[in-house]
Amino acid sequence: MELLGYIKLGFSVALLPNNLFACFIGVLSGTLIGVLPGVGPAAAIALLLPVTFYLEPTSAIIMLAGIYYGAMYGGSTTSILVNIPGEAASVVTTLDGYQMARKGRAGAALGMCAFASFIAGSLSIVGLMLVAPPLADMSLAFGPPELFALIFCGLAILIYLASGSMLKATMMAALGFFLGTVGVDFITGTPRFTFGNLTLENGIGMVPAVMGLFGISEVLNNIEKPESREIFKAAIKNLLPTRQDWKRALWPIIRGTPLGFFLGILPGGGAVISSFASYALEKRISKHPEKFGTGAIEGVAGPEAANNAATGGAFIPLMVLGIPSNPVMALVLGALIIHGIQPGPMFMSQSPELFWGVVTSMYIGNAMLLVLNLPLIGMWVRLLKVPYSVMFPLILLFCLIGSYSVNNNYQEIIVMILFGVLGYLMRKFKYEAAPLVFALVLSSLIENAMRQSLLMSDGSFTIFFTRPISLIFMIIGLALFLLPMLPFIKRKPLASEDDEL
Amino acid sequence: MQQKDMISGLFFLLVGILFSMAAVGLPLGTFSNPGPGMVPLFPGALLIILSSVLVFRSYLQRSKQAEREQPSPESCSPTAFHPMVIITLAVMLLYAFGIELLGFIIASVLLMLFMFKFGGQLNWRKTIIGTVLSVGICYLVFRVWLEVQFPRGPWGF
Repeated sequence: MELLGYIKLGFSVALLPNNLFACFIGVLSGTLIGVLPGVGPAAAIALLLPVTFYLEPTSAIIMLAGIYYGAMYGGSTTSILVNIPGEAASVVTTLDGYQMARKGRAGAALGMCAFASFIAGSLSIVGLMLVAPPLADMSLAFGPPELFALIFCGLAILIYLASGSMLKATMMAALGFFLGTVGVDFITGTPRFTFGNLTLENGIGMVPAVMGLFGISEVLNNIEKPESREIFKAAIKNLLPTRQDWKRALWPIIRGTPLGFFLGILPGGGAVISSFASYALEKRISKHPEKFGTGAIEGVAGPEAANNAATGGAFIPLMVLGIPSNPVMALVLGALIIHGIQPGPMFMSQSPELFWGVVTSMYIGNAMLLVLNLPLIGMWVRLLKVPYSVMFPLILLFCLIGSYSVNNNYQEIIVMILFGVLGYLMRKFKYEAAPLVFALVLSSLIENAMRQSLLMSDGSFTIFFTRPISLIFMIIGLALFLLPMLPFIKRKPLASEDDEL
Repeated sequence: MQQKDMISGLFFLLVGILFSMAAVGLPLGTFSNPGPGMVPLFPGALLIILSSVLVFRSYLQRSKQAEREQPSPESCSPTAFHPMVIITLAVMLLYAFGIELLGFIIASVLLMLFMFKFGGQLNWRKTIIGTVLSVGICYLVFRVWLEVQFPRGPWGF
């Protein structure tokens, strides 16, 4: 049993005091930030990214993973109590969760969220352990053309699922791709588009860019249009769901988990689609579909399980292929690269302690989340009552210090402000930030893969279409771009406007 | 909507043109041996094409709309900045320069005093408590735990 050995190795890494501490801080701060309305997992990771740079790689990734699923959980809390989804993946939770809260069952809804997340999170980690190693073996067949085609396909899916116009989403991807090429060219050493500026020679920093796009722009938009929120006033009691609740929720959780897990693996998709898919599925097979939307616990348990399972699934393409499946994973990839780790087919065999340590820490983190959140819900509720005008200076301070601390360079702050203004205007003009960030982070990978492929093929672009794996990805990608142009196919954007991430 | 698309489309068209010109200014190389300017030229050109489509499309929609004489509900200027947004941006810029001049602690304290008092409309007691707490926590996290070397001001802290 090789797998058991690896799991043992994982736990021995994850249970080291400093890694446990990193996990705890990640989960706690992730939940804290996730509870803040409008600040989703991507912003949470962006805010805390600089902190992780000073940790050793394993602790850093453990903490980032903790922030990610902590923020997902925090998002559900606000969905139930305030009817404002903390992030896109919890939009579905508002449908029945808030209704449950209105009927005085907020406690049961929050408790069920925690249990569903825990069960699904744990199962998806088992899935990760089983699926990742064989996929890693398969991905050894990946050369530069396959990588290029896969990123292209992932980008296409992300753009296809964009909540607004596909045209605009593609423009943002192009912009991100270009901005990612700023800096010294890694093959020839020529500085590109730097205007002699030393800060730009290292390229546009991911931290200031993401903090600006997700953190600062969020603050600026909220200053302008303060959200009115009505906090649920009734006391929250009985966090433990009843036996009856369990009976109704068990199967949705069991169905939601594999659904979320496999949708999470797909590039571009992840938590958002899986929560919607699970809700739709439960409603369809329910004997009482009319009860959905009026406080059915199935409608909370299924999607919550699915979006947590998707988190585990989303780590697969990242760890196995080195390709993130969504912008949040793109940030995790950026963090890995900054620590000098290039995930990919060899990642698992080269740094098993990192891979298995992170995977098992996710299990521990899920348990922490459960223990942490049941007693802390009262605190989150009070946090929701803090007015935004007090909250936003804190977010600003953290962004300013964070972006400065990456390189001890005040110009990074200016880069962040510029991206903040860009993100603020993009929201006003209805452009999405996700494709931009995704392309920005992946830019050097795409360029590298493209140039190496062209070198291999002696300048012929047919190389992307003559190799079978690459061909499949290219066809899927191109189809996603071309299909919506056909008049009889209507693209249905998944998430509503404004609540992407 | 059309007006927003028109403005932003023209903006990104300009950006695309500038990008592409900058990329052409670098050695392009050949397809079999791409130079540093080759790859950036692709997104640059793509941006030009796509934003042209956007501008063209919003132009068509606008003329259609003009025929029907429907005033656009969003015809108010989308570029109008809220005063607090401008103030926040200015304060952040000041902080960027201030951190190296005044030192991390003084710059942060000033920032938070201003933001809590002016942005948050808190009374002085809460402003001061909030400032001490927030700067203190950041100091503990970044300076003590993560050992980031922050600039010191002329007074040595």
